[in-house]
Amino acid sequence: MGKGQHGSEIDRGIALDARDWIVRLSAGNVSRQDLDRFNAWRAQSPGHARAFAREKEFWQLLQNVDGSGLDVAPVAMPMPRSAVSRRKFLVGGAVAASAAAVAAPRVLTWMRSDFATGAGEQVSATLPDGSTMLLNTNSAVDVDFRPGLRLVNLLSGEVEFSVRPDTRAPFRVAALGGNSDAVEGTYAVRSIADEVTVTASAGRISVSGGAKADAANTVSLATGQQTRYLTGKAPLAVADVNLESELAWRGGRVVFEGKPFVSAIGELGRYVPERLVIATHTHDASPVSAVFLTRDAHDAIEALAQTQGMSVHRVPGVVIVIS
Amino acid sequence: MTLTRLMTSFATLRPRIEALTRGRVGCSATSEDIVQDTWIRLSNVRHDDAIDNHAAFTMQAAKNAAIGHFRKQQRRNEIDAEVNELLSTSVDEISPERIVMGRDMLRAVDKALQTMPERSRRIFLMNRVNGVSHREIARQLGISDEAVYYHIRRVVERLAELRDSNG
Repeated sequence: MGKGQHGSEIDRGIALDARDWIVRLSAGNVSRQDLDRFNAWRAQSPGHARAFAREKEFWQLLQNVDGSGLDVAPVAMPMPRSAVSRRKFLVGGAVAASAAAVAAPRVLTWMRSDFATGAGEQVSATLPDGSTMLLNTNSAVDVDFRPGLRLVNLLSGEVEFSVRPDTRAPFRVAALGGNSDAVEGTYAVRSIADEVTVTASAGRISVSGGAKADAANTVSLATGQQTRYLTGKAPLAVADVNLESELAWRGGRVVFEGKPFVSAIGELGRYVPERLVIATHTHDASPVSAVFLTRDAHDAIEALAQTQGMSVHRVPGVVIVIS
Repeated sequence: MTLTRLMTSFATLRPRIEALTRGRVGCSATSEDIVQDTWIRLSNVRHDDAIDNHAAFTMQAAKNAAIGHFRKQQRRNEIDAEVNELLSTSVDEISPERIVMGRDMLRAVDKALQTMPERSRRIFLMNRVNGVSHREIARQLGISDEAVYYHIRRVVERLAELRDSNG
């Protein structure tokens, strides 16, 4: 395949990785393994070394930004250390009861924070109301509970929420300009590229989006139903889906039933750290039906590509080129 | 098999071990780590009976634990020095022209920073300007290390986009 054709895409990938490394190396407590991995990454090509040098220079420049927004000494946020430690909160489990006992204003301060997973990771977390969420690979959420509304912003990726009943404060997942609301129930919201998919596995979920949040722009999902919407648009008609395969990721599986090859590869790509580049002449590829384990996503990509007579070139941690 | 003799010896010698390690490392938190490490080393000993002098054995274990800590600290310092080296630029790379360019860029960056979410901006500044580690920020704000990384990474990405769009 023509290397130049994908050259800029690959450069972009390298620049992103270079910035990942800058931030990681500036974390403090860098491990020997990380340092070795970094050196191996940078040694891959002169392009990698150049990209790192460029981002390093920028990072140094950023040391001189106006820090006046920050108090002289970093002020610790009020954090009820004795009540609930954030560690426990992240791991999930038996914190629900004690979290509920924390006074509301405090919850407001320390709850406004993010959860994020990396490629191939799944993390479950308990929210202060006792609701739980399971974050799939490459996902990020921002929790913003306030009186009368349990708001969670899904920044990207896919998360399943199990909502504790509370009629006084509905549970809302906001993503790409639309809202998925429930008083109780279990539902998964996925925000990939410009599209949000909401799948209900228990309870009744109300999905709204578009210019006006009126009845015309709202659909209601019952168990086993799904809807989608594009950024800022109204949700599409409700469809019945097979929950087993739609939510197979919860059990670490990906299930394809007659899925176009390119979107199947894209789906698997969410579970690997590399960026995927697919040669353009694949539009006539046949649909794919298969079950893969998400932890073997690299093998799955290779296997899928082989079924289409394509080959896979992988630069670990950087890019996978399928041609 | 009984470990009581070694454990008894540890209990008796504990104040001495603490004094010894504190004198050497001069930091009570580290000293406590070493004492704990000593205990772990001793509790892993299988054949208590084969030891003649339990006091000497216990003190040797404490010394070994202390040496282990020094080595670990040394490795930490080496890694930190290497990372520092990686992230710092040699002086001859900075030209006056580049400094001027930097000033314009800096103004644009300052402006862009003002528009970013308060929390992300704050975490970024704590790390980049005040040099606070991710772990320490995480501890202070009561969030995870990954969340700290994510905030900073998000800010850096946006600023890099700004840089790239300005040519």
